Amino acid sequence: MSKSSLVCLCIGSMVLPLAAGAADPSNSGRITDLHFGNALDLRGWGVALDLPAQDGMSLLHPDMLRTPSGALYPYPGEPLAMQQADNGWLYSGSFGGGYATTFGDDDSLWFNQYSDWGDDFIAQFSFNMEHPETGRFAEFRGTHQNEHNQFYRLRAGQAGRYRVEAFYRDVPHLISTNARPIWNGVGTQALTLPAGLPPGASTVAQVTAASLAATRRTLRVDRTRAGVSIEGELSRRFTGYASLANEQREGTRLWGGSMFFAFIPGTGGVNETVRPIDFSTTDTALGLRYVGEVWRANVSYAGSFFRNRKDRLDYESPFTLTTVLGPAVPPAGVISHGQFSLEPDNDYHNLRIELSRQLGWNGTLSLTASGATMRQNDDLLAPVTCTGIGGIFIAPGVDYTFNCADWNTPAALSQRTADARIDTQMVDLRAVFRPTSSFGWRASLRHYEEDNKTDYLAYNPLTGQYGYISENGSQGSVVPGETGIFDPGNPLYASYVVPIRNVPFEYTQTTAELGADWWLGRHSFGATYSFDRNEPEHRERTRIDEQRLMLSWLYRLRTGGTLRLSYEIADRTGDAYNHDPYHAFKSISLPGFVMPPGGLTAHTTSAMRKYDLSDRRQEKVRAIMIHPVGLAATVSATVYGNYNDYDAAIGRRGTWTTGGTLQWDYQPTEKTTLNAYLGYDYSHLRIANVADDEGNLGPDPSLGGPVYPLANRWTEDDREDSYNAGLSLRQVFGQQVLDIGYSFVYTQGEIGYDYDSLGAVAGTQQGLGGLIGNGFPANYYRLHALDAGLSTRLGERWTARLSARYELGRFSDFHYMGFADQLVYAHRVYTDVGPTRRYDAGMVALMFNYQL
Amino acid sequence: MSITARLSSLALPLLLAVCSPHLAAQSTGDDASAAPASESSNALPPIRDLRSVSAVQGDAQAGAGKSEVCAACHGQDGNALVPDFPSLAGQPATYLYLQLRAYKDESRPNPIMKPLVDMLDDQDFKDLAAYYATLRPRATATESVDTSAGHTLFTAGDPQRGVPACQGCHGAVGEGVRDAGIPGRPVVPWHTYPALAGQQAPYIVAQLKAYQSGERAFTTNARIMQGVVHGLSEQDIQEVAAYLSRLPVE
Repeated sequence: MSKSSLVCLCIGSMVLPLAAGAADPSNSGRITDLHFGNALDLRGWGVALDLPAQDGMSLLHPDMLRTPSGALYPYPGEPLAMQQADNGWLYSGSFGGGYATTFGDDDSLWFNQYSDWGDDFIAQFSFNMEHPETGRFAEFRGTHQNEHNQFYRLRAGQAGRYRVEAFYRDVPHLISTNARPIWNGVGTQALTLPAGLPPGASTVAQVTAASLAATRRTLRVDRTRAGVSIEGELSRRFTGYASLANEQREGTRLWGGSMFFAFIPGTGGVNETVRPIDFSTTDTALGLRYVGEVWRANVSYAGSFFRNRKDRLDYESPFTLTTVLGPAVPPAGVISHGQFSLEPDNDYHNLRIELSRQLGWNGTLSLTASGATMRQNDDLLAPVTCTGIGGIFIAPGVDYTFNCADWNTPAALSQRTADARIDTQMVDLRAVFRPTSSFGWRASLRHYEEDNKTDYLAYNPLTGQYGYISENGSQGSVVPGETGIFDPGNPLYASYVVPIRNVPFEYTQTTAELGADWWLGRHSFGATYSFDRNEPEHRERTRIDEQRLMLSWLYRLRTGGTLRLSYEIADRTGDAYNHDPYHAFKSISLPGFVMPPGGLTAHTTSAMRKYDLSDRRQEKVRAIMIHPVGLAATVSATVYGNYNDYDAAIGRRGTWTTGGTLQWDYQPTEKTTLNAYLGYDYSHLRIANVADDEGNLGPDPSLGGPVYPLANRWTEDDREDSYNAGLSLRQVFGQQVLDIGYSFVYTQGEIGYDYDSLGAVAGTQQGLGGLIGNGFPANYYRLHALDAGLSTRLGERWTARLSARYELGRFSDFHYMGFADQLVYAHRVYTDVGPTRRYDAGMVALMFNYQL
Repeated sequence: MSITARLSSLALPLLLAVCSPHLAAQSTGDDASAAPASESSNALPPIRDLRSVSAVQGDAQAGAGKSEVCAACHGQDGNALVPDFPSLAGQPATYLYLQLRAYKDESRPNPIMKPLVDMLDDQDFKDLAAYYATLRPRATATESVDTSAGHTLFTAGDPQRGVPACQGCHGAVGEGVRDAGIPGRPVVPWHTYPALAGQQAPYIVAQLKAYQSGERAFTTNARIMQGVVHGLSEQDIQEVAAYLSRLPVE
């Protein structure tokens, strides 16, 4: 979980009355949406004064009930009293309105990221009606925090016959509250530089001045989701269902804008731009379910249609490009316009059939088969948008220029549309038996195939050249020859290794699993063995096998608690590792390719192992204890550890994560609930790499060879410690409910590195020698959050709730260091100043509710 | 006036009152009062919460001395001769005590029983309850193999109609549940539930109908029974009552 999402959860859980009814789980994934609620009403329950139910949890006894694993259930809330209409319908409901306001550093990103607090009128309602004689029911509820944060849901139907549902939801996501883009047109597909910043011809001083003068902006993506679904009984055995939902995402977010890297001062240009977001995703499902005495079946279709209404971004770069050859050899033209092709439209169709049959030995045999296809066929964009001449002219016969007109038109492409397609098939056969009450076993076999039919050749029929003008033409305008093309007819480009077609990654996966479970008194044991074979295409390995053994033990305490232990060990191996399987997709494979005199430069070191393909030994252990203390308290604790050891001299070498929680829950009466928890998590990632010897490039890929000498190795250790704690209290005083919560999060991350010599450092940075040290400054995030709420009855039908939240946060991330002063460093211009380093902010809301 | 004399003139009303459907139970007197579980705005009796009631302790020998009038209707051995009347023998003392207190404070209003119990104090209730709890219910003739619908409802309920099995709360053969529970786990106050074995069918029928009609609705236990009988038909009630009357007494 990211820090930001953790914060969001803390906010929601504290703002609401803590013992509101449990989240409504009656929805299913098929019914288009699962979560309703927001920071004002996390559970979407809409209860203004949540008093404990007078009937308690049971009419049999006065005590709390526990889950099967031993945790206390929350004490139930008193349902709203139902009124009866003349026609036999029962109904209940409440409607509320109020106002929320903020104070302090309320424009801080962390404070607002998923809540978007502000000075807003707020509203909440819930209305239920049911007709006991016929089983008909309807329910309508919602919460409005502001126009970007609200939800509404309508459910209606007849119990056992049919159900319809419709919903609407707005969810905010703030990306930055302190962005200072230098461009005009933010939010559109065209970013233009303001007057005074000529594209491709501005000085660093001009860009700096423009950045300092830029208006502070908030970048955000707002999500709107709406849908409707229906499920109904067609006959005693058949049920049909259908759903349709659409999600719209609109806004802006930070993006790139490369004009080739600028590590050599004054050469390229790096732009942090802002891109538009205008997505819609329409999901639909249609299905028929059969439930018989022996056979069961489900046939379903699912479709998902992604549309991007702003599928490109044009931008102007202010920086003047220079070549690595120095002022004496300038670029042939001015490259100042860049373009991104953004996400294409995508259609997805899936047809799925599930069959199951009851067997002897208390068993079930089930078969699932599905087929799916994903397709993209947008018009392709021209390789560049430049005009005039790009590249570098050194001398007659050493002419690395290109004519933009040959590349800035779709006619420069081998095909006009993407024609991309991936088909998948899956078959899953499994059998589950429980012949006795104390023993059960299961077996499964799953086969999955992915067929990537996309085949694109990067060939320009206008020039007869292969490849693609890289970086909008800037790379070839900074480094002679690195234009990105292969030309068998031109000796200058006949030996360039460039990508000339897409790599149609695909794979086949087969998984077999055999497991058994034993139930012996208070003990349960489980053992599962699985074998997984993955056969990828166009990867460094053609076969990866993984064997896995999982063991579990569950012990049920006499007091109702549980102790669970699990251990898992896996071993992954495969066939020979080919560090460069991509020749078929590069110009090397084309006729006319001329081998360079010194041979091909190694693609990477042969010692490199990609982490998803390398040999790996994995172990996981987890212990969970839930221990009831008397009738009203529970102590629970978890401890876990995950260990991965990769057989890689270069690449990811290992990971280690561990942590634990300790929690105390106490419900002495229906009026009092007290919870406290402590948590700690630790993660460690080890990486090793080697820098190539830039002065000695050649074909030898071996580690310790001339290209990858051992002296150029470096290692990285990424460690993160995270501490969290919380305390919450809910107390009922007659017709008042007081809830108070405090939470604390502290996370510190450190990235350390080591190296054998300065040869491990990029050539352009070796001069920094003594400043490099052994690590980046530590990142940290610390948050104290205090929530309080008081709900009270004002009259027979009127209630009020006053709630407040206060946050005190500290934050440091070395990636943002220096940005508070300026956002322009040499040929690099950044946009996001970053989250506030120190902030304290709060929110107060008052709402009045009327109960029908 | 001796207690016997005080009661003798009211023997019949007591008998009838025990059969009365309008129940309202209370606390045991020597522990925390059974609190109203909810209050209703229209003059209905409050719901009495019996979930925390502890077992009563009385003097059975003293109770025997106070039972002469009761015996006129409920039998010398606590087993009623008339089928419409309940047998008291073997019932949990707490259950009996709660019924007597209910008559007295009119949470179980009954014009016949009210004057009878008004002459008794709390100790009398405990002693009488303790005494009848020591008596043995009358043995009944039983069929060796019972496949009746009543048997099925009693032992397995009817999940399709949401009817739970009677034996869950009244014991496998209607003898009542005497499970002390597990320390640290919720304990059901079984001593507030009646045993059913030995009761006669007309009495059982009357009580089930009383729950169904809502006449018996003012304790947490009565609310449980309301949920149980909600799905029972007239035929079901007759079958269950007939089966219960055939249950052997252990």
